[in-house]
Amino acid sequence: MRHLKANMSLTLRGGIITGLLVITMVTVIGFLGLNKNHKVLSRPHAPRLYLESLHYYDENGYLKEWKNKEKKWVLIHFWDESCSICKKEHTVIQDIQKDLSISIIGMLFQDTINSVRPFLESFGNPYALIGKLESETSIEYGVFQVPATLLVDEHKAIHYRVMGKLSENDVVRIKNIVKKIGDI
Amino acid sequence: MLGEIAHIALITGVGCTTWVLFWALAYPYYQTDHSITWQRIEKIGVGGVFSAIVCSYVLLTILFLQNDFSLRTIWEHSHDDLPWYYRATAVWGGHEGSWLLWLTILVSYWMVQVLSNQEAGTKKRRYQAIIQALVVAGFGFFILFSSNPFTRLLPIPPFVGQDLNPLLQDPGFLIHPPCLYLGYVSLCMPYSIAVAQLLEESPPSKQDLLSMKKWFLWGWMWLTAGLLLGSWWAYRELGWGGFWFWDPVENAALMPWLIATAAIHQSHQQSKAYWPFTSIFLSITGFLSIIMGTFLVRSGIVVSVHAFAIDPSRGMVLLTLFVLHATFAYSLWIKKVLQVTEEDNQLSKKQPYTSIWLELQTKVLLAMALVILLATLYPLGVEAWLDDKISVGPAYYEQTLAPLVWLLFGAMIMDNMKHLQGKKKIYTFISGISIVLFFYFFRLVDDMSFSRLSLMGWITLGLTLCAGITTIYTDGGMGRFSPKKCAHLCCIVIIMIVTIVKTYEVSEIQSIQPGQTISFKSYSWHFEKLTEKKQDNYIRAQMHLSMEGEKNKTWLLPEMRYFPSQKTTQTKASIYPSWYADWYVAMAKPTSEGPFLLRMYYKPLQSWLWAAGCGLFLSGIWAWRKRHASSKS
Repeated sequence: MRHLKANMSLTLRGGIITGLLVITMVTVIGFLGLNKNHKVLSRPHAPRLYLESLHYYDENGYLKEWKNKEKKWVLIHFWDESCSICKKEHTVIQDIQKDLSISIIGMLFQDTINSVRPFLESFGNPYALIGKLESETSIEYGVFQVPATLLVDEHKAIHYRVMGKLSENDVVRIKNIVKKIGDI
Repeated sequence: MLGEIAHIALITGVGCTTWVLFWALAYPYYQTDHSITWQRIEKIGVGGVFSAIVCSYVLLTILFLQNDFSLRTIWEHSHDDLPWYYRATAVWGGHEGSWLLWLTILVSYWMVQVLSNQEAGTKKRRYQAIIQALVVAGFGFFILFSSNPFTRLLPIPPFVGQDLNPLLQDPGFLIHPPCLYLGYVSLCMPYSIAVAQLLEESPPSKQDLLSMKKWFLWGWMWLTAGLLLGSWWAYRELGWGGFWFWDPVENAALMPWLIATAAIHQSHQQSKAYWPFTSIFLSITGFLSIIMGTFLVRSGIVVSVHAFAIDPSRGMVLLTLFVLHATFAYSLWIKKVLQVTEEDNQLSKKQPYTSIWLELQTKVLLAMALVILLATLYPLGVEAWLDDKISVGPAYYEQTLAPLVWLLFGAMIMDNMKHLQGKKKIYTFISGISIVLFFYFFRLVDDMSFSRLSLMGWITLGLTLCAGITTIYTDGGMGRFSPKKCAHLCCIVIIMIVTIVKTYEVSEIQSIQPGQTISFKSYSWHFEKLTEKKQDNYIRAQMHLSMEGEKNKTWLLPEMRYFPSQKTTQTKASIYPSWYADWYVAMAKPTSEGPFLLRMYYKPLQSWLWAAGCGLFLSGIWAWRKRHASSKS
């Protein structure tokens, strides 16, 4: 920083450097972000309060519909193999599955079913059903990113909704709700 | 036909802007004898821009009222069955119309600025006009070429529109966007004033500083109103019971608000220098933050409830505008900073009143904006480079912003302490400490409900209480009020209530059949009946739910609305506000048979949050009127 005047105040120096960094950051990230493919979603929806059905693509690419016919608790987990937090969360999901023995549905956000198969084979598959999420559906339930988890009760109500990583507290709450110990 | 006239008016407006820009640049070369003064050219040019663009906006509103579905944006955002007030406001329901509203407000501000500018200094005026014309022309060409509201759907115009998004059909929507735009656009004005000073290379006059201050205050006031209305709307419409979601678009509005707040604090700092570098920096940053905000909202780079226009090419134009303005204004600023040495910049060795705590507050507010910016951009950056997806949740914001808020309130307490003398200082200090200890003590007792307060919560509550007590003593003691005092007290109340709501809210999901009674938070809730009724453009199923306590009984009427034009159902929550808590009920029915589901919330002190927010806005108006009166005399 020799070219900056020695007697310049620290604040101004900080201002210059921070400002330049921020402008570069916004520009570069904005530019790179624009070149990514984005899902075209024409209209925002209000997140729904209940989950009756889910539209997803199966491994052959056919659009299918899942319905909660059995009237049981279901955990719906939105994830991708390309998302590192989701991969770390895999053990947590397996633990929930073992502890509660409820059916867990895995919905992929961007990956395809065939591409995550090796991962599931080597680390274990806790999911009763796995599918690739249809894009409109994700917005209907307010899921904009992975990981995300929805706990759906026997009346199809979304009982608990976690956007992002499942914290320990979340796991405890989910277990308590399903075991009907009551909310903390 | 009207559509074409409006289109021509818009083109004329943008053309006039280019004309002003041309003359502002060419004036010294062609008008050496000064037979026509620059003021006159400016008034004619800006008058032309103003009338043309306002005309085009009014015509677009008329077209919306007439249901001319051959215009693309009207077809996308309106419908025959929509009531007239929603049709008139559907103009800003879509990307194109809202952008025209933005431009209209911008040129109105420009007109006000030109008419109220007393400065005869032709050079500075001209530079201001150049910058302002560049900003307007940038946005004007953007609207003409990439988001024209007057695009026709030819050759066969559709008969019915697609209807306004049901989420937007709410009284909050009538006023939320205009308020926010009034605030946003106001931050363009200090930018042109500040950059004109840098271009002219003369330190800003008192007049300049005053008008910058005024625009910031005006913008701050409307941003406050916009944010408040936005969160009120989210609270009632989105059915998740929250009022702030740290959505990227909410962040994009919060950052300019923080910068405007910082600028207002800075403007109270009586400058000891010829060049108020920090004020100029804040003006530039404020403007850049609004371009960046629009870029985030309108490029589709983030997925959010607000991101209504998804088109990367538009994003590219906005990003280019951002880069051009940023490099231009910023390099001018840096050049000036490097040129003026610290000694030259000192007015005198004896420093007039400055407060280190006020300085700290400005910096902390900027740091808060930076923290929010990082969290907004971080997921985008990770996705772009590492192809990985991460999300930044509320926990990050709470944990990073809470210490900064403590620092802010700490600085506020220290600044307030200067107003107290002798014993009062000691009393206040002791009472503050005892309140904090009181909170801490009750945190340890398990039976008390204070035990639910987290460590973060009690520090925040204790500090805000201390800050509140010391604020009451400032500005001439207990009984007197000033806009500054009111605004600070309202801010304190808002932070306290946010902490309390976060700690003590209760939420539950219960299923209910007609005629059944359930209990929630020591009240019994009885489902009386369900009524169905056809409204203007939707069918409404309303649940009559009675809430019965020991003494009182009230009715809550949650609704489900079915919109045939879009084939969507929307839940409308019912809220029973009381002075100590809000009762919030949203209903849903998953299948045709089976029970109804109720999502119930108990939100302590929620209505006080809205009251404090209104207080914040009103104290803004008060300060603005006061300043306006004082500058006139």
